[in-house]
Amino acid sequence: MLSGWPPPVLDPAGPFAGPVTTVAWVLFIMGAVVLTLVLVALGVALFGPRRWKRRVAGEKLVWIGGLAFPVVVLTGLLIYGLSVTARVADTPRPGEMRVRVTGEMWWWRVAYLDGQGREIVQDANEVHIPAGRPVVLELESADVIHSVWIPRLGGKTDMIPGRRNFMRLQADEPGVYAGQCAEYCGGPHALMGLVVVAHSPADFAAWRVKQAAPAAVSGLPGAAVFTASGCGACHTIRGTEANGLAGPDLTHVGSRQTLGAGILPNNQGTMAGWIADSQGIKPGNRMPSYSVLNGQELRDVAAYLESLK
Amino acid sequence: MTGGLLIWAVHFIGVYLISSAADVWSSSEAASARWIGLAFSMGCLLADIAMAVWLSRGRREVFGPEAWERRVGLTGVLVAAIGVLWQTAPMAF
Amino acid sequence: MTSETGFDVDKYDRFPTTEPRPEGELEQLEQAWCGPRSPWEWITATNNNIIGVYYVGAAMLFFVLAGVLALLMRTQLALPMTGFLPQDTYNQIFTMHGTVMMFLFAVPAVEALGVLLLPQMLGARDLPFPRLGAYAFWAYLIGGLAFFCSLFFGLAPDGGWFMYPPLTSMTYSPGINADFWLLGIGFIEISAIAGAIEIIVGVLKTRAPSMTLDKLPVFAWAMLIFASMIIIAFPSIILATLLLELERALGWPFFDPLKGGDPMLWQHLFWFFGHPEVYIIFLPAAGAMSTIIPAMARTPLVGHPLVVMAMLATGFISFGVWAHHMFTTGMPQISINYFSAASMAVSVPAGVQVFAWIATIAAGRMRFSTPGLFAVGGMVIFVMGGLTGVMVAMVPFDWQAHDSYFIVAHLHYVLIGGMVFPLFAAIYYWLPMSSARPLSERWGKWIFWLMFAGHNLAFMPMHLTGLMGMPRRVYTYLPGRGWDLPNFISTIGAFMFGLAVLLWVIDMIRNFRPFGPREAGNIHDGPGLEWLPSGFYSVRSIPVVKSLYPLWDQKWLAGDVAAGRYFLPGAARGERQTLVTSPLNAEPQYVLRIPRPSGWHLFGAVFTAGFFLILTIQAYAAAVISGVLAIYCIMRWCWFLDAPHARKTTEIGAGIRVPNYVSGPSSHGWWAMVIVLIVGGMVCLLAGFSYVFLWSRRPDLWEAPPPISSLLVSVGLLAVAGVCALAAPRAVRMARDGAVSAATGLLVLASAGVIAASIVEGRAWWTTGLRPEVSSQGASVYALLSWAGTFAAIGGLMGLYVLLRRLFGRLASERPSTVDLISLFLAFTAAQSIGVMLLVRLFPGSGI
Repeated sequence: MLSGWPPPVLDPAGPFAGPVTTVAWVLFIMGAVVLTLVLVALGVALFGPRRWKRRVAGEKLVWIGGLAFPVVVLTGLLIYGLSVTARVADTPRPGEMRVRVTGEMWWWRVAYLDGQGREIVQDANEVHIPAGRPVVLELESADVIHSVWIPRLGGKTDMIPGRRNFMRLQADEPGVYAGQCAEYCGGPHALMGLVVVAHSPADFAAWRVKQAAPAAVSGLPGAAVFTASGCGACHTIRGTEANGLAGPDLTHVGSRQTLGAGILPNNQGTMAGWIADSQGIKPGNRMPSYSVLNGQELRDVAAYLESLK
Repeated sequence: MTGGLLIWAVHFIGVYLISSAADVWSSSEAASARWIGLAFSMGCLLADIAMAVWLSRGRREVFGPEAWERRVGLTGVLVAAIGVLWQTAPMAF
Repeated sequence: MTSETGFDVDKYDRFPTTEPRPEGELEQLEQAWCGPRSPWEWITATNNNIIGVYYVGAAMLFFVLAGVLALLMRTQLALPMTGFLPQDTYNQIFTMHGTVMMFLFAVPAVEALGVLLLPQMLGARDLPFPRLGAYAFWAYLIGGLAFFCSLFFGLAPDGGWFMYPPLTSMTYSPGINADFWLLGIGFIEISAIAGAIEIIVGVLKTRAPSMTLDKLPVFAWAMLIFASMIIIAFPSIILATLLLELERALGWPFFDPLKGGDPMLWQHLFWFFGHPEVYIIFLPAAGAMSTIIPAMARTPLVGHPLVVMAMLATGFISFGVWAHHMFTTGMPQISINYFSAASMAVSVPAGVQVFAWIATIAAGRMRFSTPGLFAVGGMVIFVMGGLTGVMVAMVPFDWQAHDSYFIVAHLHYVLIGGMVFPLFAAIYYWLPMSSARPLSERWGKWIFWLMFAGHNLAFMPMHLTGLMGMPRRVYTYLPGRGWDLPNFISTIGAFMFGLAVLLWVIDMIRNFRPFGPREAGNIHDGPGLEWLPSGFYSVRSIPVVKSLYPLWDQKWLAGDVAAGRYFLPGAARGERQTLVTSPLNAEPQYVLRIPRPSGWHLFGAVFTAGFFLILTIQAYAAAVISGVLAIYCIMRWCWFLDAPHARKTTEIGAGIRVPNYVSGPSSHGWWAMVIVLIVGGMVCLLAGFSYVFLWSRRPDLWEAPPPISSLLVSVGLLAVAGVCALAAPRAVRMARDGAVSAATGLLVLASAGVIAASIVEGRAWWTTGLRPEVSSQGASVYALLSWAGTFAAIGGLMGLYVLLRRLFGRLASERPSTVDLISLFLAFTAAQSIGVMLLVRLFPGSGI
């Protein structure tokens, strides 16, 4: 399959995207029909035989084409649009699983909430959901305005400092769905991606248990490099003394799909590259390039982090 | 000439204020706010009709600036009424 | 037809006159309106024929500059992850592209077209406030160029043309880049408002006699609505920039949620300006289309009243659609739906205009010369943009399309089809009016087809890239998502468009020869008054207009006008004059003496621009000096206004005499002052909205206002000031000694009253301990009081000014305009202050 094809907006994967895609097709057809009509009228006006031209030359055309026709079409569209809006955007319901996603410059802090709204599991740049049931994202911002957009699962919703917005999300099938920040948030806004991973219900339960657990104690040499380099000032690895809060939680970083907020595939090579030259890969992001580390140290740290599954 | 459009403007500001006020004091979904909005919209539509009747009544001249201004006014009322009607529709959803 | 002013309309039948014109009359007219003779006079010129050409030229310069920025962006985006432009440079460039195109090209370009064309179209000799027009132009040019140059120092704003806080707040944009935007653009808006005042008064008050509203050219209608929309919409952006600059410079938390502010306030204010802005740009261009298409098809516009209604409706409804830029912000659903419905309603008038154009083309025979091509091509592109506009007005679809490349495609289709193509049509159509040679038709056709193909090639694929998930405002993108090919095609299209513009620039250099003794003239057989034979004085005599298309329907018009057989055929006493008529039926009211060029408006513009720009780079002392100099220059400029007249009346032809001076609501100055006050009132109203909005977000932060006794003092002072101000115009008209002194005294008293009230109220709030930087209540209360206080301070300057005029003997009972206008201003200031004080004291109700 050609990459990017079919376009994600037209390839819905859940009930909050599907009706919107139908709306899109209705609109495209409406647009094509109206454009054709206008072009035909214009063609007749410009090049048509005199008899035809006379028929479109009067004020009647303005009344019919400019007023009556659009009013009929738009009334239909308006009512259709209102009903879809009401269907797709209804408010969160009690008992639905909640995930708090906080936009940060230029990554996403993710926390899974229990029934009382307490954070039970931390993660970053990935939202894991069970397939086949709606999940509510609580959207907040830690700094500037961001916007969550996962085209195959639905439209976008902004994250606005001082406010909390909600977004309901459902993937019908397990799979990986790419998302992106859609509101310009300065600097490397272009490179602020997000991944939604939908699991089958059983897999999701297993994932959640694993994710809640602290990192296993590691004897890998990279663990020492991690500590010595001060990485723990910004990052948390639960189960170790690294408890920084400025950057993404790395407790299970090795199990993530991507690095650098959706921009690199996650493996030992890219991890080492990211640590050494994060400013070259994603200029302006808040993590300095650790070019002071030598090749061996980089490989060790990368191996250590990749072991955190 | 702009009477109809002024009614549209009043209606727009009105429904916007009603829904915002409802959002501040209770919930924008509150049924009472919808009924107030609906009553207000009906009032504006009646005003539009009254304006149309007033504009088309009596005077019969077909040419000249006043007839022209009346035509502009009347079609303006028509467009304004469509706008008001459309902006009443959201109250049903 | 009933008369509006008591003027006997049967007198129009006396024209064209038959008696021979006196010897030397034409020479005297030419002498009075002679063009510049030295380089200095070219700079201080005020004639609309000269300023208009400068103005259009400057706007097109910014079009080319912003276009170059677009090509840089397209080069960067041609391939994924290229390093052609660094990230921060790209962010500055896309911000500047949008900002320059909207604020320094689009609005000034249509305003410039108005300045250049309106007097000729309306049969006036010049606009009513030529020095204000020149001031607006110079302020815009100097401010705009300095603003653009910030790019070369890496100091250009990089927060997007929409400048959303908190990204643009001090925390996240600590450099002066954002200040350049806030002060630079805020200031250029003032120049746009000055131009709008000029256009409104020009269209309403300086039309050819008997040019009733149904005979008013559609372009003039469009400009009237355009300028009125500026008056209502631009105060919003002025307020927004003021508030954000106050937050940045002084820490007043309007948008900072930690202290009760709300970033959404900016979005409301910005888009309340920003969406009407699109129609502000579109309407004059549509008016040009409704002028050019009938001319090129050689037939009257079909559905003329419908088209005018459509433009009026657009003017209104466009103010009800601002929140369709905010569908994804989590606003209440029902509010969103209102805006969705309004967004659909606003497309109806656009459809009416398009079908009126098509019917007109069918009724006549379209000529495919370059203006015709650009008009038809623009229409096709605009229709496509309009259709995607209906799509994004649908809330669910907008959730997907919003802030994606789909929107980039949509807005460029609307703006290029709705404004750029019509503007090129207008340039090709009207250029022979100003230039000795028209532009090349052969080149013109090449330019059109390159531009048309380039546009579609550049922007059509963007619909798809948007649906493929590509967000806007990205400096690069990752490979492997299928975005590469459409982006590459877009880049090729953009360069085709660029080539077309380059060819046009070359052809302008080859053929554009303005200010000469002769023009290419009416090569398109246009029907409007602007095609009458003319000089710097516009038409030789101001005709009686009996048709919407006078040159088609009034057989001997051109010859009779050139022979001086209509109104005001000479320059009595060697003065520059134009005829002022009534706003509805255009009945002659009086002769307006038009000021001659001087340096003061120019210096005023330089120092005003200097004040804002120097403020940006934080050289406060120099900024203050520049500001004081600006005020001095503007007061000097005003000093020579309202000067005595040698005669009370002037004969304007066929034995009809009208006064040389009127005051009150008939006078052009009164209209201008009222419009200025509407601008001020709009800012105040929106500031009041901001106050209530911020309260609704955090009512818990609101503290009790000061005790009510101080309110009684300040409102009492204001009431007295208001009464004094209102009494002054009556006093000055009293037919007895001391009338002028009494009026002066009343005005000085009134200005002292408004200042005293501001001080009393400010002190009362200060003693409560509330501080502006602490909470949103403090910030919004002091902002409102500062706004009212600024008016009070200007009122104080006016009190001083009127006192000086009294001392130097420049006030007189028979010339009450100065007193009238200052009285209006002071009465408004008092009323505005009372409104502000009652709001902050009594709302939300904890005051009593």
